[in-house]
Amino acid sequence: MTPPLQERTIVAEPTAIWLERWSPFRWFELLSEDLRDLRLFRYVLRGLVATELKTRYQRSVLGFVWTLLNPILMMTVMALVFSQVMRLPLSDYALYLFSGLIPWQFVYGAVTNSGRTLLANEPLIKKIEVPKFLFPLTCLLVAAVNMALALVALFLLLTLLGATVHVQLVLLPAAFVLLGAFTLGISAVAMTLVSRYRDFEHILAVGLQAAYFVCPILYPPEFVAQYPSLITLNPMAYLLAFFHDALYYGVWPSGRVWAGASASAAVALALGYLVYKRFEARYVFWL
Amino acid sequence: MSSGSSSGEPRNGLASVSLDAVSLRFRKYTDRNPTLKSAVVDSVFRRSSRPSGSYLIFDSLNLRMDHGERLGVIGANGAGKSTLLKLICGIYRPSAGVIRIRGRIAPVIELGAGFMPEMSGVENILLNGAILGFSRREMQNKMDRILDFAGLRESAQMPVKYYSTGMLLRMAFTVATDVDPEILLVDEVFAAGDAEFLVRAKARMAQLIGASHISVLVSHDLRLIQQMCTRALWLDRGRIVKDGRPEEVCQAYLLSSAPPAADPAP
Repeated sequence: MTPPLQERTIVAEPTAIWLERWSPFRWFELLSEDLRDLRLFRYVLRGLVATELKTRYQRSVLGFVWTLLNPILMMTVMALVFSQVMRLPLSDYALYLFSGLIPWQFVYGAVTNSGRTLLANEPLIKKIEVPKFLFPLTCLLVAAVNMALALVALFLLLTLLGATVHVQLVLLPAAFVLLGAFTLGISAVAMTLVSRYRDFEHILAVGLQAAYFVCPILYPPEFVAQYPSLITLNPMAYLLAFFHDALYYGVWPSGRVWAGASASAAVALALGYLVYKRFEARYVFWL
Repeated sequence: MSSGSSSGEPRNGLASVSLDAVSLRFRKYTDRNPTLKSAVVDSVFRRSSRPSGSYLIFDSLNLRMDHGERLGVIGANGAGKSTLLKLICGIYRPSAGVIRIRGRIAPVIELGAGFMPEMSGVENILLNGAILGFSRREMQNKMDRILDFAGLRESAQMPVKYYSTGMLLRMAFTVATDVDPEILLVDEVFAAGDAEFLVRAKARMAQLIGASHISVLVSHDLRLIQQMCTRALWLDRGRIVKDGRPEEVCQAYLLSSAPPAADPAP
């Protein structure tokens, strides 16, 4: 039985939320409302994620195996080619490449899918009231599952290559939390821009491609020593350094890396949330 | 927790819905998609960046519904009937004004929101229930009842992409109407299904409306409105033309839309 009658007041959409309501209490209130909605809609989130994964993996002949084979094969090709280009020993380079490429593919997958996610879910959004943050969150979780599978592949490959597994592996959860927060923030911005201006999708694709080359993924940071700002001013570089330290170098990340990665994650997430709250009520009119 | 309690008695206070000076501005992108390119070009050439169709659907609309009321909404296509329901549901936020709602809303508006073609009937019923705000356990308790009413027991485990239109509709209708409604919003859903299901669906709908504290029923079926409602609202392009007893409002509406032969004016 539904206990007391729930009351609800819907007020006109805020026009400039960050200026009008510049109070930490107000933001705390908004955030706790959203967290309550997340709890209420957790089954919807689960359903969205399950559907997405099912449609992706269900009907292929090798099914689950492909999801493991695919990243292994692709990364093997890349390792073979680029270890020649970089003139680095193969097994060493392969490990470096994988420990950067896996987090990168997570970011890339989540952000790219988030761009289109509201457009793809238009029927649902126009028919029923759902909190819109479910959609970028779905993209994030799907990308996380894909990354988990790729990681399994990576570990299999590592043991084959006879690489040592470092004790710093225990940092991996922290690395994922930071990377997830960073990605969610960027995803919210991408979702807003692509929903508002459809052709932003192309700009986003080019931007991500550029970021891929700017970030130390294919090459170690030392390769661009003549452009130090590529590393020091690049928020993604700190997050990648975190992964490289834990998986490849086997060292504890320095204070600089910790601070840089945490700051990147916090700033991106805050920015994404700000943008999201500003346009939350408008998204439905853009579809 | 008996979900069969079907009295319209107030439990904890009275349900109500009130719209105070609610306006809704809608931007319709009819001829083109909004692109960054066109936004830049427009701003460079100082063209209005407002897309072609930006108009007010509602202009300070006031409406109040109290406990026990069954409101029927009528009007021509595009009068804003469905949009009114979507405003009350919270799908569209108003551009100005305030909407106050006391009671849990049960929307029977757009059936089958978020059906996932690859998932089975049972999974879709769970998901659809979650979208409507029911927990997994609540839905599992209802599952047998829903499958029976919708006549989908044999095909429950089949992906819904193999369902016929009628099966999908029966499933959607049954999930949406297996509720203990406080505020029931209904948007003409008797449209399809075979004759046998239609009879049962109508009976279920009538029972649901009877059990609800407040019902809002959007329909072109004036007879239905007069049968079921205690009050009728005639909307025309977002304005309230007439609000009152169903017989009077329906008659006025019929007169206004009568063929010119019955009307001396050209």
